[in-house]
This record gives sequence, C-alpha cells and structure tokens, in this order.
Amino acid sequence: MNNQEARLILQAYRCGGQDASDPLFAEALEQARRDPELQKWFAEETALDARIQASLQTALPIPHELKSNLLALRKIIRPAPWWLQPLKLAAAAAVLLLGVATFWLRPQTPAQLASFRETMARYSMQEHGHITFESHDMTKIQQWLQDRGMETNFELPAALHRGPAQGCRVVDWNGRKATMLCFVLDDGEHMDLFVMDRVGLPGLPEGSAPQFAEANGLMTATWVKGDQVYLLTGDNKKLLQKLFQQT
Amino acid sequence: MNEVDYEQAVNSFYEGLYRFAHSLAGNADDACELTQEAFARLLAKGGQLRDRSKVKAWLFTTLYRIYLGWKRRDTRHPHLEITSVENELPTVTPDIVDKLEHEAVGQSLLEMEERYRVLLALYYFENHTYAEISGLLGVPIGTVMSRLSRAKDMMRKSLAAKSIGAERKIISIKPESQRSQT
Repeated sequence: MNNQEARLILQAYRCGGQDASDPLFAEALEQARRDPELQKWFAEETALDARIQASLQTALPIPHELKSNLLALRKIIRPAPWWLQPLKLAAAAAVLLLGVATFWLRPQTPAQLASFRETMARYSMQEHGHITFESHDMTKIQQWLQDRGMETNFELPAALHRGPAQGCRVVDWNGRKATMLCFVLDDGEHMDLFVMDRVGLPGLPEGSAPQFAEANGLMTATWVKGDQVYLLTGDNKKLLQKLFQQT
Repeated sequence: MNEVDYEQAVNSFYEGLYRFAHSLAGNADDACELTQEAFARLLAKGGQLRDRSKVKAWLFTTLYRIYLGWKRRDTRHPHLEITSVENELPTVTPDIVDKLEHEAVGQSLLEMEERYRVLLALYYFENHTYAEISGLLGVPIGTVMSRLSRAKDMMRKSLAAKSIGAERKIISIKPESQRSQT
C-alpha cells in the first residue's frame, strides 16, 4: 500500500477513533505509524474533521419543538393490533395463500430469476441517472420507448394507473433489453416496474400469483402475463401485497 | 413498535436525522417535515423491524427515500435564485461575524453538490461508517471512499474561500479610526 492509497482509506476513518479495530483500516494505520509524514497528515486530518464535525452540529441547530412534536406523534398514530383490523386479517390470509402458491409454482430457473431480481433491484436503487426520459404522461413514455424499439403492450397493475409515472429507461440484463418505468405513489412511495420479454426467463409459469423476494434490500414481486415477465420493486412486502390486492 | 422503543428511537436519533434532513432539503421547515415523516413511518411500520439494532439505518434510509420521492415530484423545492432574495439578506453585524465560523461551515456543506453533501452529512452528523453509508445509499464501498475524499477536499476549499471572505468583512466593519491603525 502506498501513501496515496493509505490517505484515501484513512479519509473514511472517523475522528472519534471508533474504527480502530476495523480490519480495512489496519494496513493504512500501520503505514501511518511507519511513515512520519503520513502520520502528521493523519493527525491533522482527524483534528480538522473533529473541528468541522463540532462546527456543523452548531451550524444546524435543532428546533426546540421538534422533539416534543415527534413524541406527540405517538398519540396521533396508534396502529391497532393487527387482529383487530379486518383488512390486515384478510391480508394475513392472502399472504398465507400466496406463500402456498409461491411454493408450488416456484420457477424452474431460480438462479436466473435471482440474477434478474438482483440486477433490476440495483437499477432501482441507482440514484443518479435513475431514469433517462422524464415525463408524467404515459403516452409520451410509450412513444419514447417505441422509438427505441421497445414493446409497449405491457399491462400495468391497476394501482399504478393511479400513481403518477415519473419516467422510464431501457436497461440491460444478460444482453436482453428491459423497460423500466418509475412511479411515485400518492403517499410518496417509490416503485419501479421492469418489463422484459418472457423468452429471457423461460420456465416461469404464466398467470401465477406474484412471487415476492428480497433483493439488494428491496422487496420485489415477479409475475408473467402474456409474452412479458414483470418485476416490481418497492420498499417493503406489505406495500407490494397491498398493491396487488387493489388490482 | 411499543411506546418505550419509539421514545428511545426519538431520543437516540432525532438530532442526527434532523441534521441529515436539513443537509438534504436545505431548510429547517422541510427538514422538520422529513424527520416527522420518517418517525411517523417508524410508528406505522416499525413493527416489521425484527432487529431493533437496525432502527437507525432504517430511519436514515427511509428519510432518504422520502426525500427522493419529494424530489421526483419536483414541486416542493422551487429553486430560489440569489437575486430574488438579495434584498432580504441581513446587514453584516459583529454578531453575525462572530457566528460566521459555524454558519460558514454549515453553508459550505449546504452549497455542495447533492451526492457529496449526502455523504458528508452521514459521515459528520451521525458518525456513520463507510460500510453503513454504502448500505444506506446503495453505492459500492470503493465509491463511498473516493467520493468522501473528494467531498472533504471540496468542503475544505470552500471553507478556505469563506475564511478569506470573513477576514475582509471583519476589516470592513471596523471603525474608521481602527482601520487607519492597522
């Protein structure tokens, strides 16, 4: 490891010393112990970080009423026990049925499906360049996709007809193109729908219940309709299940 | 999530979460709203969190996603050109100059490009590790490290520029008699 590499790593070292036992820093710290110049730089770096950290805490003061407002939320938002909520009881039954259906109708190509999920979830998490074409107008989005040779005969879940589309993008999986449609629902929940020709994932049964699985920290639902395989990503499973109950 | 767990989460994380929100939104009102929305979701959905040690990461990730949702809607954050608020800027006083150091640091952070600002906010405000930041933002660890290095460098250059500006302001508000002595 040269000093340049050590500096890059040590810049992520927290000035409170909490990272002393992290193996990633061990070699860089050892390098700093051996090289007086690097050691001097590191001492100045941590001192400056401590100063900036302290200054930032003062620079953005916390509003006095914020904490009491947050504690007051307990009185406003009180979720009732799930067994007292008929909708949640119905959802629990649906989850059970979906679980059974998922087990019996699990895909013939689990490794490929897992890879598809992981790749699409990564696209969904991507912050910069998340979408290529921005528009709330689905007709314009379809036109943009057609201009790029993409199929636009996809069928959206009913709930997504109501949520405003944000735009779209063409993504790649194993050399195959897939359409990505980005949505933000009324409650601010972000979802991405991926549509790909089902030839790319043979063995997935058509018309079966959506298969839910976690990928890269996101929840995904996958299903097949017509010639297309659909994959929806969202923050959590309940949200996705709710969306299919609305369909 | 029971009331005790919720109160503990508020006590432990609300300050760091608010400052993170402020660094994202750039103003106190939206920061309060983002913080409250994140805690409201914790109350509503916190029961799904099986591992209580993940509450902190969950809150920061949730707040960041709420913010991205706002941004995608693109209606809540109209961009104010400096010329439109120029008349509302306060006159420089000794008090302001005294406070300038901290404010300048905060301002330097808020002026940065978002991808650098988010990273520094997580690093400085709540002492997140590089691995936690990687998980929260969904970017590889190598990217976190190189971006953090770049972000620190940019912030220091901005602070250096501001410190020159502050010195000039101090000189310019000194009484005439004192100016001639220096």
